[in-house]
Amino acid sequence: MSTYETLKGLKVKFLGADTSGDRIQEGEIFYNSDAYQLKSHIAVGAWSAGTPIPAVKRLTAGFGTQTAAISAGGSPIVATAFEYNGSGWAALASMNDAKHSFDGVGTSTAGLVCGGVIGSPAASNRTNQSEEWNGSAWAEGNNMNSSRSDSHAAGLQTAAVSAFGVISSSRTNKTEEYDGTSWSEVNNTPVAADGTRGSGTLTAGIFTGGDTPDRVTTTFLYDGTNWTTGTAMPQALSKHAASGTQTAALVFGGASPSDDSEVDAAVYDGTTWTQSGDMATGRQELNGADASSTASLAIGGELQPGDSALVEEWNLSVLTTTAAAWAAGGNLVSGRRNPVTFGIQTAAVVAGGHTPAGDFSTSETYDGTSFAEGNNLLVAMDTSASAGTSTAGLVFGGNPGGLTETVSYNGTSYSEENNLTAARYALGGSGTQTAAIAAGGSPQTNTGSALSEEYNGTSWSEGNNLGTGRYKPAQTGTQTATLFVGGDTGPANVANVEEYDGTSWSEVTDFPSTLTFAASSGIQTDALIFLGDTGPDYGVQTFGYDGTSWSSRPNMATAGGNTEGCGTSSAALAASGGPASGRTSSSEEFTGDTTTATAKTVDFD
Amino acid sequence: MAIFIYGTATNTGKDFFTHEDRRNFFLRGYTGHDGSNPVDVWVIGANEKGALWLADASGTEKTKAEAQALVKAADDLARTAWDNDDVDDESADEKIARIGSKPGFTTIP
Repeated sequence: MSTYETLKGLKVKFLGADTSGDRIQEGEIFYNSDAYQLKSHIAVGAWSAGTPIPAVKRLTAGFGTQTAAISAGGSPIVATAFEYNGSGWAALASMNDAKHSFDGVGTSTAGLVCGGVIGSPAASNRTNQSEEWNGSAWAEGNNMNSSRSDSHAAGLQTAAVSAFGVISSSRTNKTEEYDGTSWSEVNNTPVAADGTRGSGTLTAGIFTGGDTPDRVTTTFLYDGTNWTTGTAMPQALSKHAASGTQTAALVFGGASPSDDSEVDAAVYDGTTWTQSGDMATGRQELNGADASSTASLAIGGELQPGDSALVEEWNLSVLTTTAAAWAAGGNLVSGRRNPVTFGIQTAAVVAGGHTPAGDFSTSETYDGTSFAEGNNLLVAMDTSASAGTSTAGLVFGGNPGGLTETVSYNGTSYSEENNLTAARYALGGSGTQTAAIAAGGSPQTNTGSALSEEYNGTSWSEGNNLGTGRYKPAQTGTQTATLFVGGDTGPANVANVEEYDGTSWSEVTDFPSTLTFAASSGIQTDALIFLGDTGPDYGVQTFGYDGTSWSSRPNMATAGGNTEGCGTSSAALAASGGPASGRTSSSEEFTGDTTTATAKTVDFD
Repeated sequence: MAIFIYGTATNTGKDFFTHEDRRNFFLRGYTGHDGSNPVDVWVIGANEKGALWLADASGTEKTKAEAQALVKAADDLARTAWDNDDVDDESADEKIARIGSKPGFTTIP
């Protein structure tokens, strides 16, 4: 009799838990000695919520991967483009022409879009234009031979095939190939159809479904020269989305034969289609990252009625990802505006600020569940800044009257420390109790200060100035790697962001909007910025920063600002705060994406 | 079908809404006032889980107009409080530095 060791070259491992050791591998057998069960990890396909795209869209062009996806154009007719990094969206340079009903191929740094509709009515506004994306800008490519819409493409920027669609108001079987320079007509598809969706490569493309005008289940395969017919899909579909390759493809969403928006997904292994996990929200005319059948995206689409900004992530894996979200935290004893917050999500201090009673010196501690009153600050401190932890904190500057006051906190009480060299309020603060940095602020004249000072645990000393003086910023990080976001220069609110390396400040990528009185958590290369006044009003927005670019995160439930925030980019706390109209005593807690592996019990029946 | 449910429910703190709730339905909170006391006004995604959440929170469903009126009442009070919060010889800029800009009006979705 063969043994597992004979077959696999490995003994069956005894593990104390499903996720311990190195056994999170699909199909590998292990014995869970805690549960007394023989187990194995089985890949399961599932959709989870992603961060909605900033604009409601359908009929976009999408290409790239789940963690580097581009979505361009779409209806209502726009030229805008966005990139998804697996967590959030960042705005990119717009295409040269606004368009919808087109498609794209390639990667986030080498993409191609072609055809589409550039005006209304569609019948007289189909285009043969193509545009190339190089990771930072769009450039006009050579035109296709026919002006067409609703076609679909497969391949890369330098080797693509575009097939099916509508030419001169009629469904077409014309096919064109792109070699990175020019388009050429090649063998026609077996039937004329639109609403067909494709993925794969120029020499191994797969195109599914569509309207002929009947809605069809057909799978067509392209080898770079000829078209052949593959296994039909489980159901007729059109205007769906597709990703993956000729031997590992995924189709999802779309319009059913009765034109309902589908939630279904089906996986193709080169021979057989298997119905797989459903999306949460059915839609058609959606798009997504088309590179993989194991990690894809569903972006926007038509809900019937209405268009959608919803994003869902598809993962075929032994790991299950739970999307990031904000949840309610404990309520403060006294809601307050402009407090400082230091520590982490489960061990934080919120101190100072305006309480409804006009008290500026109270301090509360948070244990991850509830707030409790602690010992007061030594003096009233409002719009101050802070650094450190709940057992080794530092509070400095602020109002009333513009303060140089600096106090330390030891987990129980506050002690007087040497003062800042320059009085100012609404300044930024970060670092630790023995290595803090205070930057910006206003010296009571409503003009932004560029001063930055460093604290060594004993005294403050002046460092190099910010590039742009401002107050009301969000600041996070360490003394030698600080992030300073937004603020008010006095004349105007700004979106400027600067980084400090321990010696000097440098300007980096702007925040997506002007921003004042926002809160922050995390470090310079992995930060979270939330709440704050974005110009129109105080918001619920949350953005992540990876040291290079900004991307959106799930929104909070309640808009606000005028508080500091604390914690990390994956476990943050937003407690109390404004806006100016009032004070909230509530708090919210952010938890980033989490990934878990669930093993299945091996059944001997 | 309506996109949102409107209601009032007192935010009781920790886990009043959970991460799972936030994944299951749209949720936005606003400060309202019923003429006697502040109230927490919620705009909730109109699906089964959103409706159940409001019920579990011992909330009271409102019409959009009722919810907007509660929020406007809180805005009115805040604006009046701002107008009345004066310090002798304080300039407009100094007042803004002390208590922030005059609150505006909030429009719920």
